[in-house]
Amino acid sequence: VVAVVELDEGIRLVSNVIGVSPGDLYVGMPLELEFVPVAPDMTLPQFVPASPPTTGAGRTRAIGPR
Amino acid sequence: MRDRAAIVGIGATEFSKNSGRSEVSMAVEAVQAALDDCGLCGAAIDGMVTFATDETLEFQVANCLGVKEVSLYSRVPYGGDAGAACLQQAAMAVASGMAEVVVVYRSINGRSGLRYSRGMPLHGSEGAAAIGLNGPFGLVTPAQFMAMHARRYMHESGATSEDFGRVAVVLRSNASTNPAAVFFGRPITLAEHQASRWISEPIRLLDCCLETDGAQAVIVTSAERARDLRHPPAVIRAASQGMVCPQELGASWSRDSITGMEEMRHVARRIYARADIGPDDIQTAILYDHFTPLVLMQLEALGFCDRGEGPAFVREGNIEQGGRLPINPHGGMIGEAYIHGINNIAEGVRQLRGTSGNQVPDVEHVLVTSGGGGPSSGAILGRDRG
Repeated sequence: VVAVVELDEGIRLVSNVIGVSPGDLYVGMPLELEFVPVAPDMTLPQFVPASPPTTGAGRTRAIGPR
Repeated sequence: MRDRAAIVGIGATEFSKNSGRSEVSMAVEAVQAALDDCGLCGAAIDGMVTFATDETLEFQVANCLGVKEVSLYSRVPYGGDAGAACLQQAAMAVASGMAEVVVVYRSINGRSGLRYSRGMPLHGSEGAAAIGLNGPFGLVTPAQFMAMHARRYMHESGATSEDFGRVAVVLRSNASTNPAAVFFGRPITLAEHQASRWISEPIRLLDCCLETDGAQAVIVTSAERARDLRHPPAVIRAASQGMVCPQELGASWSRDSITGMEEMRHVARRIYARADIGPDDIQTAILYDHFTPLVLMQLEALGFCDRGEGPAFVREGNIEQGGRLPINPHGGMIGEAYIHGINNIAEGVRQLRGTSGNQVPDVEHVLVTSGGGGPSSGAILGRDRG
């Protein structure tokens, strides 16, 4: 799914949410960043549902590279 | 600039899926038809304005029309956002004395040639880079960009796919009685809209504009000279471009609101102020109808209804023939043809002349928009008061 993801710092990225079926995705879902190799010379920043689920802020969330 | 210039001639080719000829050939035919419409000859033209995306060269067209000397030629960027902005260029040229007779034209083999639905170039220029960063994630075509807009709009306003469909049903109904329209005689029902396939969810096939081969031209000259020509002039009351930072092409993600169409709100403020009128003074609007969700957002951005009220405004029948604000009586780019919105400007002229096949009664002012989602433009045309 193509999505606009807002980072905690306020920056918005056009990216993909992966690892979730479109029907389960909702606006405002907390997310985590993953760097996904998609081609030999290309790695994309994509997002998966945050784990464990975050609570409270309710904003779309991203966690930096680990 | 108010009331200094007027549209005096309109002309078009046939609208088809396969013109079988060059864009120069179609441009020449459309401009000649517009000249014949107002009674001027090619030698009178001394200004030419078109889209940056138009594939013709001005002199290729001028050489075939008996044009002698051209003092002003300019092009406006950002695809369909150029339409009303071309009128602005022409009106400025006339009002300032830079040119006396300016032709605005667009010629496009949009179906048999380069099809915009197949995606935009993602590299090779700075312009491509502006959208190319989205490409690897799956945003390549106009429908995909506008689907992002539409999804967010549904979240914020509660709009449904059926609300989008009601716009398409009205425009196809309008086109069905317009003999020049590609979809002449072919109205649709809401059920047919709902059964049409996804192009990019939540945008269905019947939410999308056409892809068309054809050309359309309009001739602009001074309001004074216009009074000596064949038809009642469509006076250019006001025109403006709109770019509001942070600005991007398909949708400006970094703004507080992605769905506010801030550039169209800017255009609206400018043209209402310059024409010294408001939304209640507009009898019909010709809105840039590349995708139905953006029509709903434009109704809000132009002040015809409040934020989030677009779907209700349409459900109440306001945009239909006989409603408070009939839109795109010719069928627009969804029903008549995709000549990048210049055909929409021509319908505004017919409405002011009183010669449209779907004539709105007592038209004093027409609002025309161009673009939606990126930089935009708009104009208000009115009856001659001179």
